[in-house]
Amino acid sequence: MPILGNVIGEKFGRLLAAAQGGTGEADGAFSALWRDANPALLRYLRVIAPDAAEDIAADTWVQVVRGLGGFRGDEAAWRAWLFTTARRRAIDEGRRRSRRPVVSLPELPDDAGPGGADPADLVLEKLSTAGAVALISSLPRFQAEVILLRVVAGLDNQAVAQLVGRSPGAVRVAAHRGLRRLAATLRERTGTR
Amino acid sequence: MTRREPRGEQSSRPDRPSEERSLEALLEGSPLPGGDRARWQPVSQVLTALTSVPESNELSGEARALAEFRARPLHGAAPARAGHRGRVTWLRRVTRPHGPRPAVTVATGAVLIGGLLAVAYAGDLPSAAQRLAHNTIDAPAAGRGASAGPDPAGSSRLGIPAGQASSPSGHGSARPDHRTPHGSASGSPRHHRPSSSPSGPAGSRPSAHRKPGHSPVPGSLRPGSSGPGSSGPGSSGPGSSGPGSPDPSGSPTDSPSPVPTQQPSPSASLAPSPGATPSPSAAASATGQSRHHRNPDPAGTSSSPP
Repeated sequence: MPILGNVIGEKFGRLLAAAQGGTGEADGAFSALWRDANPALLRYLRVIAPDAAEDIAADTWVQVVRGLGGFRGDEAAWRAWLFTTARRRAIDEGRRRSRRPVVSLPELPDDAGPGGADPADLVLEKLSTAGAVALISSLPRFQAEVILLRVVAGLDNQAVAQLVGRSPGAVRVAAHRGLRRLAATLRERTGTR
Repeated sequence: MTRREPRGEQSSRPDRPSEERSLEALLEGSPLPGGDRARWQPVSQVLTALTSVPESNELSGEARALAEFRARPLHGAAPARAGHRGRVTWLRRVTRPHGPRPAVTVATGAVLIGGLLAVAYAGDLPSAAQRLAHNTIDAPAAGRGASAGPDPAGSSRLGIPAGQASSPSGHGSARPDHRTPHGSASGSPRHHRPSSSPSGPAGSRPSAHRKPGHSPVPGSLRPGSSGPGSSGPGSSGPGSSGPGSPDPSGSPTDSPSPVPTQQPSPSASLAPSPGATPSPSAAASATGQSRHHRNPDPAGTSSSPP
């Protein structure tokens, strides 16, 4: 089952307090928070900013560390804050790159995307994370983004709407359309109906 | 929220509510409704792969993040907003519109104010100004300068008009306590800030931490007096035995009963006699809070999302 909602769960409050406290446990607590959130962050960024996902993720954590002492909230708020920061950094990076176009290497290996893979090889049971990210990347960007924020970031519809600046209805519709399109793509690729 | 079904499509999608539920279940990670499981299983597998366990390349930046975390300022860090550099730049521009000028102005003002305060407490202002300072910030009164009173510097530090406070300052002042061989819990129990006075320099407040049973002997603190319980070195409390122990000779002009005027103390009524037991209030005030000062827990516990 997808990991959604509270990932750290009940330990989050204690970890956050330890990370904010500056005591000897702070490093370990921060590492736990980082290990929990960074993979999701990277997967999200690899879809919305594939050329600079690693850099944006690093910059995001710099911002988060600076503001960590003042953060108050539960795990859902924490993740919303994290992904909001990442999204804005991605937007900034996109603007910067549009002013200075940069030739970048593709983030994913050639055989990770559905376009380059033989449909017969698309074995969903053994689909890697990179392959899944590539499949989501084939969707229209807004649909892909909201699906990632719902599924990977674990945010609810309301939080995603607030993050992307759209209405909850628009976000729900986009997510559903994205999933339908994904289902259709998979049917085509696997030759099933 | 009302959904408007496009005309002509209603009949072709009779299972739309069911489909909506399945899609929401996929997004939430809930079990799929039985009838739709086969239909949405491939999508479910993709979403499962999206949320699989972290891969090694997704955890490789931990050291860098931890280095940033360790380098953070621990206190006084302002909460960060989920903004971008533009906001930070804008903020810098707003707070420093003209470069270093406001900072220089503030620093100059602080120096000036500090200088004025120092002069006021030294009693060297013009009389009118000194009177004003006396009325507002408890500086020495006009006409009473730094030299007036037994401990003008100490008393002035406490805001006590010079000449009134016959006791040394209660904050472990650096001025040797020449009136109180023990230092004086007796002298000014009111002034004891135990957290600040242990081992005060020059033995100024040895009695701040005097335990009951030791004898801060009010009134016995004559110059040179040293009865039982009075402080020889190391006798009565921290600060009394270290270097700079109070000079037992004291000042001949010091009152034998160094009692703070702001707070009546039972000790003031005690006859100056060696071995006299300390007043309960003096002892209590001297010792009660000395070791229990606690800082508030800085850990934040309120919950308000940024």
